[in-house]
Amino acid sequence: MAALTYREVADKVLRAMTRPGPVYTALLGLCVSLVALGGVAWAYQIETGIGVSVKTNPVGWSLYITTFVFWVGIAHSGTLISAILFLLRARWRTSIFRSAEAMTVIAVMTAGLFPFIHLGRVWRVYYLLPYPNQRELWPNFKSPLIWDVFAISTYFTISAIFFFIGMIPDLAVIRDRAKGWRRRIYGVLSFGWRGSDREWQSYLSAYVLFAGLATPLVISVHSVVSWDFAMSIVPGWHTTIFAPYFVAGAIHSGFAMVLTLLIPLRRILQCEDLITRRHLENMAKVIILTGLIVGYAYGLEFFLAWYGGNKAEYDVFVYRATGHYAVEYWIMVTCNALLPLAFFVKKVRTSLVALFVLSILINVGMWFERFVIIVTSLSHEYLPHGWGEIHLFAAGEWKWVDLAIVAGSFGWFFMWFLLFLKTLPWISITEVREGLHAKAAHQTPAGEVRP
Amino acid sequence: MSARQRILGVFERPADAAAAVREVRERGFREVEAYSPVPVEELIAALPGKPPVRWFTLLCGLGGFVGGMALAVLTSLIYNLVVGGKPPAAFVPYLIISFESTILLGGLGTLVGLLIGARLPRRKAPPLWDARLSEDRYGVAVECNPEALELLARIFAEHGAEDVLRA
Amino acid sequence: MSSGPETRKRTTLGPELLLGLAAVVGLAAFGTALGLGWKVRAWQVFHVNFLFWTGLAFAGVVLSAVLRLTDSRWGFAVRRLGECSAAFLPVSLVLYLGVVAGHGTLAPDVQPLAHAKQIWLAPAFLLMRDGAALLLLAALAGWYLYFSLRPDVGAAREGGERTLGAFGAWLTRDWRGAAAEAKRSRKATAFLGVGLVVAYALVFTLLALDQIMAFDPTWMSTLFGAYFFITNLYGGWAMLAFVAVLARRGNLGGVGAALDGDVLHSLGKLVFSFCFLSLDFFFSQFLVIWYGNLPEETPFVLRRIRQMPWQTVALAVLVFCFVVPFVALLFKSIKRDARTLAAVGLVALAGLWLERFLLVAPSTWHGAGLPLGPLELGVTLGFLGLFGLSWRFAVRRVPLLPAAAVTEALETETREAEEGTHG
Repeated sequence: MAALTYREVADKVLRAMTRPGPVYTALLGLCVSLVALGGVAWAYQIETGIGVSVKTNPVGWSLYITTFVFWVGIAHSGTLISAILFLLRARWRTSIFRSAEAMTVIAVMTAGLFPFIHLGRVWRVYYLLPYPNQRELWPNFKSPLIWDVFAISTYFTISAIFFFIGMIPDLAVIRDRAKGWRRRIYGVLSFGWRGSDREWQSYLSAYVLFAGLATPLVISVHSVVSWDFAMSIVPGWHTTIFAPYFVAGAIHSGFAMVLTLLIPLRRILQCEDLITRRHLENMAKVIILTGLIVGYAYGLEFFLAWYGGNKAEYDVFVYRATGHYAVEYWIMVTCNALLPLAFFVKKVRTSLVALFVLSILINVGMWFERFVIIVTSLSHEYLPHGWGEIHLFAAGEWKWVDLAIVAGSFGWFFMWFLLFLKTLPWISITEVREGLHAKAAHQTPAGEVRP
Repeated sequence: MSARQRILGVFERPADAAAAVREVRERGFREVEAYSPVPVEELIAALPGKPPVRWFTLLCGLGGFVGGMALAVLTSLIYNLVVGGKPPAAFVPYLIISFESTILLGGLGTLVGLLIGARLPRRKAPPLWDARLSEDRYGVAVECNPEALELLARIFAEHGAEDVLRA
Repeated sequence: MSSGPETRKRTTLGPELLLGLAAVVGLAAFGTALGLGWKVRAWQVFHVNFLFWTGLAFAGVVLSAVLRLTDSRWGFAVRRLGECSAAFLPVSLVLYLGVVAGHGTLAPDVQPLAHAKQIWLAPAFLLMRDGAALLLLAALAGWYLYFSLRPDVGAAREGGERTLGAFGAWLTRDWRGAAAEAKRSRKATAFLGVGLVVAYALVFTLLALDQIMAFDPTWMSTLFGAYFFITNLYGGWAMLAFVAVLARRGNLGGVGAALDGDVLHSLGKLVFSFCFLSLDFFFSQFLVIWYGNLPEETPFVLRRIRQMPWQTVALAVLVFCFVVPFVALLFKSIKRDARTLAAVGLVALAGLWLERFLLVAPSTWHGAGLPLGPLELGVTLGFLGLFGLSWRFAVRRVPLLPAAAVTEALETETREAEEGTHG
């Protein structure tokens, strides 16, 4: 089979950036409507008060924080694919990392909405920032919530920068192919990039350094998010395993979301030879690993709750499996730990339908995992008279605001992703070309074939 | 004193461009720039010196570590409360703050280092440029005196230049 | 390519004599300690060494499987070196009897404990399940090694060598030719490799809970099992880096040329990454325990980092196991240079040994002073001798590089699979 030429690579990838058709517009419209719905709900909540949401004593954190952790988790796979797989020199990362990085930046933007949303008095959010004031008040840097502020702002900044500088050579390609006002915009965005030797030299050095910085960042961010819970002494939350368990879970849901996005995209945008079944299969293999880790954590936590002899801790685990939220618990276990085991079978991990369906189910499971961890523990702490549950129908009315906002967050995420597809190159043209260049070098009769 | 002229050789194969660059630099020309749509090891290796990016990363990263820790420690000495039984200035949790600020400032430093090292953003496009250079061709541009133009054109031709442009 | 009669003559018996001497010293030290009535000291250092060296033995095979599963392009040069550490496994299984014998001395009485712990920590149940788990894991490792060794040994024997003698003949029975065997082995090692990694995580979690955490039964940490098996893999990479340098210097089995600067660099990067990961796991536990400040969790940690004499050991662990390797391995020049990489690997391993000691001894030692002296050094040398002898026994007999026929067959397969893709 003839290899692609450099021009063909750009042609294929840039095909996505044509004028929007009816399907695209309809999808975008749907997303915008969901965002509007969420926006209306949020405005209503700000005006009326946080009491319109589902959360109530004792469950002070419910769907908003669940969704917050969910989106932060999804954000992790992008950096893992672009930074960690880069450092491991895994060649299969090339055609998928751009959309994965976009997904990361957008997911962090989505997650970042929720600290605002779940605050009743949104106008007081600046209290979280360290700024000098005449009352000499400073944030409590010992609080995991402040660590969150630092971790997530850092993550957003670094991911966005990494995403952007990775695109500079591609933006130059678009600039040189475009005309008129488009040419000027991409000219500005590409910083005047010409691909000179000096530019490449600094670029490659910076890229490796960014990858090296982003790698510990990925691990630290979701560890910090997990410590929002582990720093308490709530039964089911105070456990040392949370940091690696959450990081593994984040990668689990992130890779599943990448699959959900890329499987239809590669067909619609006709790039099935750039994003091959091998790529999808490799992602499925990573999901097996993270699924095993998550399953290990589920089992071990339950076992040690029994072994440890702390009655409240053990009771919470029994409550999770058999109490008011048992359905949510079993959805979580099935979707996250059991179903991904199907990927052990080669037929399953190479079937597009199976990959797509399972990836969605995994994300459903991961949302429910955060729900189970947060809500069941808060519902069932130490004092029996303090136990209580959240209800979607309470005091004679439906609590619609949370669900509207959660739906709005999904709309927000997909809206930005659709906009990304039309304005920026969704596969890295330059790196795919680089891959072709390297392959050609390996196959020259004079060159040696490295093992 | 005659005005400086520019000449651009467009090559199909990166190896040819690399050989041309090496020869041009060996002959003492200083204002040489090579262009490629993908990073080419030989072209980059032919550059004198190493990029300064790492130093920016290191210095800004260290600054971030110290700054983050200082922010947390000093402000908690001002706003001196015992919270949760922990000492006001507690080293263990502040490691997290300083870790994140190390990465944040290290990353920003890397960005600055990249822009400085690569001399981006370019305020003006290079005087000689061909759109093929961002697609599938490799270029070598030299700024020289008019007398040297013929020599350079010959060198490019010898190394198999597909096209030679002058300005 | 693999060692012919000439190369075999060149490898000396010097190291074997030294290692044998070390083993004898260990035996003497242990025997003397028991004879003097120092039961606790003797059994606790035996226990620490058992955990440390058995851990390294399994880590060698597991890391080899990981390199195989990730299709690492440079890993072929070091995989076999790691697999050779599995030669210690039979010795380790015998030494497990020592763990059984020492359990009575080291483990606390289960009677006063809560009901769940009385069941789980009952000595007979505990020792039997751990023995069974170790046996199972060793069997799985052996099965993996069967398929890993078979194509290379078979190809060598096809070329006329009498690799591994009668054992080699059994290993390569029903030989179907190098190409077919290579493909079959690739499939089998992929499948068994996954099983091995999963089983390793589970068995070592169990070991951590039963053989370390159980000695302080009021304490509990859900991350402890994972912490143990990850730090063990960290030790494994450090060991691989060290033996790679040894193999390179002695050109064992002709592998010297393959272990170039790039391979050392990659090994250095992996040691660094796992050092960082171990530090992350350590901090995750420490932070949660520090922050919660719960009386059932803090004594374990406080005894090790605040009480003398353990505080000095904790500081040593921090420095040797974490700080020195982390800082040193930031530098490319240190990773690429054989001597400095080996030195850092040794420092990390020494730090890891002290870390295991710090996990076990404060729970079992209730006397005065620090139980770390000539006895401990002697017994550790003994284990080192046994481990080294086992490793060298294997390294001098098995082919250390994949056979050419095997590599060719696999490359054709990879090329065919990658055809038609541009990603």
